[in-house]
Parts: sequence; structure tokens; C-alpha cells
Amino acid sequence: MAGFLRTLYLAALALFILTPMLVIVVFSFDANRFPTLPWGGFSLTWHREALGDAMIVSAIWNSVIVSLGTAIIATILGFCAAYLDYRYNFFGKRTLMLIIAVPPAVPVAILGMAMLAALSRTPIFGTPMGIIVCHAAIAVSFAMALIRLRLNDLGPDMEQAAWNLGASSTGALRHVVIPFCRPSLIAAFCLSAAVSFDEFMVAWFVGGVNETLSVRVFNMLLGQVNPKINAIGTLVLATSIVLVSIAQISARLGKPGKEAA
Amino acid sequence: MTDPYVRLESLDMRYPGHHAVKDLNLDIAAGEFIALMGPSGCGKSTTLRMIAGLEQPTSGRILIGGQDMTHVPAEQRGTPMVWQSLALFPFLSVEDNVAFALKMRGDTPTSRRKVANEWLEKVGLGGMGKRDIAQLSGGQRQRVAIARALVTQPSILLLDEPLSALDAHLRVHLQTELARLHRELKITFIYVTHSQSEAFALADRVVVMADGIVQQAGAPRDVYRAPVNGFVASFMGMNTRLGGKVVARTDGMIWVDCPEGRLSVPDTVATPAGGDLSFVIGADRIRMVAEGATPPDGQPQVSGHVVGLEFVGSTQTIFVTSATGRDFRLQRLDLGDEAVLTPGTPVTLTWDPRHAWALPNP
Repeated sequence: MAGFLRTLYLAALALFILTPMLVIVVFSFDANRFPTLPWGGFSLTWHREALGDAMIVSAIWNSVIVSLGTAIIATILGFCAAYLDYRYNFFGKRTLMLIIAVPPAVPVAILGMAMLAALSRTPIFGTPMGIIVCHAAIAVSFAMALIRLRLNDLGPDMEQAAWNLGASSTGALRHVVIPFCRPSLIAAFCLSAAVSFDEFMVAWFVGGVNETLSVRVFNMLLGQVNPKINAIGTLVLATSIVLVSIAQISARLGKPGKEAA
Repeated sequence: MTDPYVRLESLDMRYPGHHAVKDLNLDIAAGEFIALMGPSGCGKSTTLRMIAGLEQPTSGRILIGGQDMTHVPAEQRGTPMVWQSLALFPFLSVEDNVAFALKMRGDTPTSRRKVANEWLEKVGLGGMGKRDIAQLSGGQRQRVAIARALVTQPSILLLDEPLSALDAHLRVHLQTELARLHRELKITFIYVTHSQSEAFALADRVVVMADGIVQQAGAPRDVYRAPVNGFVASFMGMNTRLGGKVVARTDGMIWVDCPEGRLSVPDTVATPAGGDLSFVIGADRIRMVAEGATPPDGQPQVSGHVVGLEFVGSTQTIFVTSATGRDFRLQRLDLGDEAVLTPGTPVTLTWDPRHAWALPNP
């Protein structure tokens, strides 16, 4: 009985979370122009139209570039920050770590305005690079958290064992620490890409004419309800699910217990 | 001793709030198997880590092969170590783990694969080079760790409690293996352990440490039979300790008034008459007197009762509390023909006074 109630509860929860997304996916394949029941039959019209729209395609490219750039920068910086925290003790370390961790906790509207104010005085304002920098600032805190967890499992001996066997500090970093962290680096990369791919507010504030996909959707919504939006939504959803799934699997691969004690 | 291979000179290690190693001096000969032993926190691991260059001594010098290594970084010392945690690289294959030091040295992939597999062969893991570390048993991992440390053919090997994570059976097995490797390679082994049995089974010389200070260094037999102080005596574990006031000296023996009577011990210390003297008797040197019999002439007689028994394979350790309330330990071969002892059985103990050992320091 308890088991049944639990299953029921979990099913209700999943339904509650998934329904809005499912609606988008379902209606993106609907032949009807407006999302109404009954379903008008299966059709790829809206997907085809969305991918035929030059503005949407350019927004997709922007999003891909921005999320890849964000993922690269956030993963590198996240690793540096995590390693700094793991390995060294210095004055102000706690403050620095707090500063790195805080951006996701700031309301995005405020973050967006702040970044707009900061970037408007620089040449990268209104370029994809500007969005990348801002997204990386947000994503780096997730990347650092993931990598830092993995470093906890490294233990004090493994890096010293590398030195003991003739590896310099950089050699140990390259041949031991980074390979050991590889699963969490992949996870951090995918999660950062997903964070950037989905992000709207900051991209809208600092992107200028360079629309990312979520900004394009917003601008389309301002005009009219267009079923192409559902198609884009499906695309974004699929991308996010893939990225987050890879991140999850990679992070789990790095868990101890599967390796030498 | 000829020129020592490793020389530790007035080595001192202070951490905030903890003085780990105090003015340690130790010479280790080339090819010697030396065991640093002592309870946890005695400074033995810190000493090993200083030799490896993983800790920088607060003061003092470390010489290896006549060269001052005190400030040489760990990666240039050529002092590979086998870790208690093994510290194998889980993301590398067995072969790549062993070849790691060769890779760092810049050997070509072909040559390092060849050498690594030769070493795997030598530690009994031939053909396992392509496996993952996770696929190996505890004992196999231990062998990988040993091969990984030896692959550059160092002239010294450091071992930090390498066997303490293994079960008893494997431990004995790998002890034999280590002894064999030491015989074949003829290099210096410095072995840190808290286990007396490991140290005694393997080492040419044991160094007993406590509180950051070397208490005694010497051949296992000498340390066991002739401990210099109460700490070493009790750390050896298998000794019974008695004591009292010195009353006289005759024929190379000191007579001591103990609660158990007037007992004698070989005269090896300068304690004057009236002074306090402690002495120990090895557990294997104490015997039980058969019921109704009397001990041989001139041998002490202490009555008490059995409080506990321990079987260690072929030998038996018997714990006896004397009528005077002192704890005695004796060990005997379990031949199966002795009367069955149970806690509470009254017994009479004796020993040859020449086998007692007076502690130079309390």
C-alpha cells in the first residue's frame, strides 16, 4: 500500500513537472495552426518552417557559439577555482569562493542590468563574446561545484605519488589531476553549455542585435503566437535534456567505489 | 658500518602545535632493510616523508648517497614510495600505472611498455597489463604499487605501512614477496610500520620511535631481548615487567627485592644498591611448573592463576595474574599434551634468572 502511494505520488509529481513541456512537444507536431484539441494530426510543418526562418537559424548558430564558448571558459575557470580551493590556503580564500558561487543566487534581472552596465563600456558589448563572458560568470559556479566534489575524492596521496614518481607540479596536474577529474570536467562542460543555451534574461540585456535562441523566442512572442515557437521549444528541450543527461552520467562515472580504494 | 647510504642529521620537524620529529639522527647502510616502527603519531611516517621530500624538515639535513638532498624537490630525489593507500591512478591501466615514472622520465612508449611488463612479470602479474585497476584484488593492487615504485630501478625504496590494509593471510604472503625482492634487488628498503611482527619478520634493523624520538635501534633480536627502556619493552608487547629495590650484587647478578620475592637479574646496569630497578622477561622464557614439582635450584617461583588464553597457530599465549597482582605473559608451543588450562586455574611460574633483562632506563 505504501509502495503504491509512493508510486502514485511520484507519477503525479512527474506529470506536474512534465506536462507543460509535453504540451509544447505535442503541439509542435500538430497540423493545426493553434494549439487546440482535438489534435489536427501529425505534421512536421512547424519544424520545417522554423528551420527555414533565417532569423531563427542565425539565432540557433548564436546559441551554439555562445553555449560552446561559455562551456569552454566556465570549465577552465571552474577547474582553476576548484583546484585553487582544494590545494591552497591563502588569505581571502573564503571570500573569493563566495564571490564565485554567488551569481546564480542573484535575481537574473538585476544580474542582467548589472552586466549591461558593466559591458556597455567595453568593445565586446552587443557581441556573442559579451554574452559568453556573462554566461560564463554564471556557469562557472556550477562548474566549480562539480569539479570540486570530484577533487574531494582525489585524496592527498595521489598527487604526491605523482611527484614521488618524478612528475613536476605541472606534470602531476596534467597527467594525474586533470585525468582524474575528466568525468567532472565533461559534466561541468555540458552543464555550463545547458545553462547558457537556456538562459534568456542576460542574453537579452547584453546581446544587442545578436539574438540567441531564447531571445528570438521572446521577440517572436511579442509579435504573435506562432506555432514555430513550439518547434523551437522542442529543439531547446531536446538539447537541454541531452546535455544534462551527459552531465549526470559523467558525474556519476566519477563517483568512488568503482575504482581503487 | 661503512659509509651510510642514507644519513639523517639532526632532523627536526615542527608543525604548529606539534613537534613531530625531534633531533633525529640515523644512518642507513646501502642495501639495508630497515624498519621504522612505533605507535601512530610517533613520527615514523613524517620521517619517511621527509626522506621522500614530501615534507620539508624544520631543520637538519638529509643525505642520500653522500649528496645533500634536504632541498631537492621530491620529483628529483629518486626515492619512490609504496603508499598505505596505494595511491594508484584509477584512470590508467595497470601497465600505464607501472610505466608512469618512465613516462615522466621521457622514455619512449615502446620501451616503457616493455619495462613495465617485465616488472609486472617480476611481481607475479604477467599478462595483466591491460586491465583496469578496478578489476584487481587488493593483493594484486599492492603488487602493482610495488612494481610502479621499482620500475626506475631506484637504489632505495620507501614503504609506508604497505601491508596494513590487507587481510592477515595476504599480509604474510606479501611479506615473503617483499623479503624476496629485497634479497634479489639488494637495494635499501625503508619500511614504516606499527606492526612488530612485520618489522621483525622483514628488517635487518628496527628503529623504535616514540614521541618523535628514536628510542632504540638495532637488530630485531637485540631490541626484543634487550630493550633499553620501559617504552620499548612494553611496545615489544611480549614481555613481563617486574621491579623493586636493588639489594646486592653477586657473581654478575643483581638481586632485587620484588613483591614476588628476592629475584636476580644479570648485572648489566649501574643502578646502586637501594635504587629502583625494572627488568623484563620474554614471554617465551617463562615456564609453568608442573603441579607438585618444584622449579630447578636457584630459579624463582611465582604463584598465580590463569586469567586468559590466546591461540596463535602453533603457539599459545597464557595470561597469568600473580598472587602479588602482577600480570605475567608466557608463550609455549601448543603440543597438545599439556593439561587443559581454563581461566582460574592456579599455576606456578618460573624462569632462568639469566634470561631476565634489566632495563637501563625506566
